[in-house]
Amino acid sequence: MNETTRNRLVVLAIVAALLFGYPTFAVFDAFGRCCLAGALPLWIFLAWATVIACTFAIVGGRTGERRRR
Amino acid sequence: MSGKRVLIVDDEPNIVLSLEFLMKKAGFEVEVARNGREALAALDRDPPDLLLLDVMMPEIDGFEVCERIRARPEWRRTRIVMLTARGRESERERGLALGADAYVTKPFSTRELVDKVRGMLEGEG
Amino acid sequence: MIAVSVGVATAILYLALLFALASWGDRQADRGQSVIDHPLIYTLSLAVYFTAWTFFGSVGLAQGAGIAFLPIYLGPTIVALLFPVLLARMLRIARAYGITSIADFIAARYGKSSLLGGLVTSVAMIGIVPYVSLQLKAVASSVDALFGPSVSHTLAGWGPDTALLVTLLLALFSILFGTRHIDATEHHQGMVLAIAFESVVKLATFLAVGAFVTWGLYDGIGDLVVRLEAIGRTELLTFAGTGMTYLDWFAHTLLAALAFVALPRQFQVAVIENVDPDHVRTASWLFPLYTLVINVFVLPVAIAGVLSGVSGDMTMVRLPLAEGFPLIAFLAFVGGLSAATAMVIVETIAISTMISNDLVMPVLLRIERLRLARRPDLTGLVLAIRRLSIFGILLAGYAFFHLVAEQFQLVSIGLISFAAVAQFAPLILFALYWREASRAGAVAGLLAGFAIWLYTLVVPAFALAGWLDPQILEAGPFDIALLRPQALFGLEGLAPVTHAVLWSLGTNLVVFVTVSLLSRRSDLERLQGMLYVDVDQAERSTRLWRGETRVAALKELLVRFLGQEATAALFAREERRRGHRLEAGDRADAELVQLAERQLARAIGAASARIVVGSVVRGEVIGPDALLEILDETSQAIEASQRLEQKSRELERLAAELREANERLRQLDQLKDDFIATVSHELRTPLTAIRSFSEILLDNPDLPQEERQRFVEIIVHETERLTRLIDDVLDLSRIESGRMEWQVTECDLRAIVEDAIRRCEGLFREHGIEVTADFGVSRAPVRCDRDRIVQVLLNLFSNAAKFVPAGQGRIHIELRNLGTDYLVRVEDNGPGVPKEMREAIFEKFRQVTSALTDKPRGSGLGLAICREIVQHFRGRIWCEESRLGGAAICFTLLQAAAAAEAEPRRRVA
Repeated sequence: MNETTRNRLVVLAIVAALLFGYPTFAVFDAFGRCCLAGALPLWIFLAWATVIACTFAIVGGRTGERRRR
Repeated sequence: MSGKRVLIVDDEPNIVLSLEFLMKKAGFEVEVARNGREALAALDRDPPDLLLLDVMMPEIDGFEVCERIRARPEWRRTRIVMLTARGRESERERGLALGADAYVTKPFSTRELVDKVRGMLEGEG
Repeated sequence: MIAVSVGVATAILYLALLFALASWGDRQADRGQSVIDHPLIYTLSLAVYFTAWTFFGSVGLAQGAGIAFLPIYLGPTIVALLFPVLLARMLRIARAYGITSIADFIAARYGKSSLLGGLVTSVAMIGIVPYVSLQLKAVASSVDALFGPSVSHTLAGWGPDTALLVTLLLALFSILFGTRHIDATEHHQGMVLAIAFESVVKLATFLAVGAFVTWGLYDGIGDLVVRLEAIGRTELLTFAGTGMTYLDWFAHTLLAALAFVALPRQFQVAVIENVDPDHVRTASWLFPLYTLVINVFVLPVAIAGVLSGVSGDMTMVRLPLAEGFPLIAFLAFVGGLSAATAMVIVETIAISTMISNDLVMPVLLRIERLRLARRPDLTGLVLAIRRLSIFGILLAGYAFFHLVAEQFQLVSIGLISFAAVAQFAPLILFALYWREASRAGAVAGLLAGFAIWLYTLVVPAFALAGWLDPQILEAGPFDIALLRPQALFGLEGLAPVTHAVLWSLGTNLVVFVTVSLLSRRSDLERLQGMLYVDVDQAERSTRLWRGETRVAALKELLVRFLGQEATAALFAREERRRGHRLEAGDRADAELVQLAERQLARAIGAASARIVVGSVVRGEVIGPDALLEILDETSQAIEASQRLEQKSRELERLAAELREANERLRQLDQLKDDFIATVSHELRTPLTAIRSFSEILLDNPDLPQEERQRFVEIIVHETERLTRLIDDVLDLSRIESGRMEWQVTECDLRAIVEDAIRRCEGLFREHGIEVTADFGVSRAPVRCDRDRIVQVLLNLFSNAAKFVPAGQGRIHIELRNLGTDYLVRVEDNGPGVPKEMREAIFEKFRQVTSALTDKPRGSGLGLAICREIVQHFRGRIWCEESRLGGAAICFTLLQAAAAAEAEPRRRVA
């Protein structure tokens, strides 16, 4: 686990914290009220999946199978 | 062939006796030394053509005698056949490294010993 | 309706399956095969986070508050992203310092404080009670929902409610499950396997029920949303529908994130049970994925419940039941049971370990120090404490359920516990990242946070339940409005949990930081602080400190610990090696820092060396006095170092013994080698003569008769010599190996000596030797083997006969009474034995060799055999000068009376 990967993860965590709360929610909540019922929950789950995908990409995606020497 | 002199060096009287008999029978002149010191003294007087040299002797042992002989250029023509009752390979190597010409383990075949001595002295011409 | 018997049987079967799985896992682990060494299993074990709260509570909450259930999972998701940063560090520390629980982790960081360990344990124990009660309530409710309250009452039979029954069953199961092994440091591999399995069960059942509801009862999520719109309840899908403010949302997210780090059971599975730190990488995305998937159907099921008019925490069970699908309801029941048992098992194992290790045992050991500390085996006691703890926690959970929780939603109960354990989070995070965090700060912060938690969350809960005057919430205690538990110091308008979180965590933080900055840290705290915070550096050694220090500072440090001379020599060596001078003002490079550290480590140990070198690099100065203080700080440290010292001394002693034994073996080997070479020589010499003369006789049939005669005599003589030698070698080896059969009788030494002389008369006569004897006693009773003593004497006589001058030989034999021994002396007038040889002649094949001796030689073993025989009968044998001018061999034998006295002693020896 090198320094760059760690930094990326920290940044991702901060971004995720923003995606999962104010002010992002305010936007999608408004969208949900006007146009698409359930836009907020939809956003949360989509953002959630994206964050997971990003993490997967950052940590290398391997299932962590022990590197057998 | 005749006129070749063999010096027998051993501290076991019965073995000396048998070697003396064999060498005389083979037609060599024989001289006997009972230990290393006597052997060196005998060489000083008149170096023989060949030495039958026992390894395990009190005081100056066969290895040392061999080494001293090879240290003196005027004795380099003397052939040395080492006789030992200790059959270790390492000792055989040591003896040959010290300049012995042959290494015979006791008990030996009398015929082979005589042949070997004869061969060494004849080859010398 | 499902028959109660089927339900009970399934539940019991399920628990039995878990048990079997765990046993199998443990057995595999015992065999050295880790069945949990896979990132998937690790991630699934982390999913112990999802309890009955998730399984039942989320839906219940979502029905009234929409997405309000989500922060509890978004918090951990964010934390999981940071696993490779945060958890990896905790793992390294836990591994490096042998941490066994979260209490241990915190206590060790703050100066190995047992006070803090006990405090953390107490907070965890109290804080977790609502959480446990939540599980009991959920399982009991699901039983009631599935079978109907009346049925479960009949199930109980003797009257108690379902919750008590569930409590007792879970307690029994947890005790059976969790206290089979005592060693907390070892992995509970079987338990982890079972937990991982439960995570699969709860996920699968949740998905099954969710999918059934979504697509079986309705036409998918779109359909559900459309119907929700039709009844005008779409606000459930908006933020307003949560009834939360953004601050509440943030508080819940934070709370869950912190709890996820600080919950004892999460710490247990994530840190203690981890078998490979690399699994953390996988968990960082797989755990959020599990979280996402298990939450996907919460809203759909909740909406379906709303549409069908089924509400409450038990919607998961009631909805399928109401729609006429008892099997689906039963599936939900199993999933909930699974989630609850997993939580209860791991939580109680974690906390009971903390209770026994950090709370009860330290106190007991202190109180009854002498008695307990000396008991060889405390495992029984520890196990009893753990079992009682598990039972106690579950009973407390039951009590809380009855007193308070019955009126609350599952989620609000769980949040109370989260807020309690979240108080650990500052202690943990500061432990990892803030070197100056002190024990005093930690204790003060934790106490303050916990007190506020009690006041702002527990007091209101009791008040609402009617156990305290509800007036306290409205008007404050003693009508002091400022102290209203849910509006402390006028902080009004906040949801109770948010209010409590802000106050308790805020206070915790402020008090912690303030006290840490104000308090003076002990050296042990500083040491532990560095060890935790610099755990990465500790692993990467001193490379990171490059360029921060000057050569002079390093030199000064070395002088203080190693002395002027050694330091100068070290620097001189290093300069020679580098080929240039190290100037005082130069920056010390990594190599030099490492060199200094290595040298120091030899003097003061690796850990201390790292610290003092680190201190210089950072400009702090820790003197030798302070270092000594570090060592003196706690009795534990001293004890540990003493134990270590003792161990190392023991090791040294063992190593020395080993070296000695090795040396002895080598010598023995050498001796054996020499012996064999000598025996070989001694055998070959007569053989040579025999063979030579035999061949001479064979090849020379015409030899004169007298010469033949002479040669044959030689052969015979040499054969005799050979036989003697073989006899002697066999005798000696029999004696030395203890296989000699000794015929011990009481006999008269004088008679033996006379007998031996008689036997040698022929020999003496032959050599013309004059023999005299002087017996000082008329009878000399000894206990010995008569034949062997005769052998000794014959040996001595023939030796003497060999060396005396031919024709004028004299041998004198003497027997004397020395009080407890008899002395036999055999003297001759031979050449004698030089002083330096008098010891050696008794060794094997050590003959007195002299150019003068032209005597037929013996085997060279005679005297060695004599010595063995005499020593066997505890006599001595030696050689001295003879009054006749030659050698005198003397030996002693114990008198029979003395021998009888000494006999028993010898047997024992």
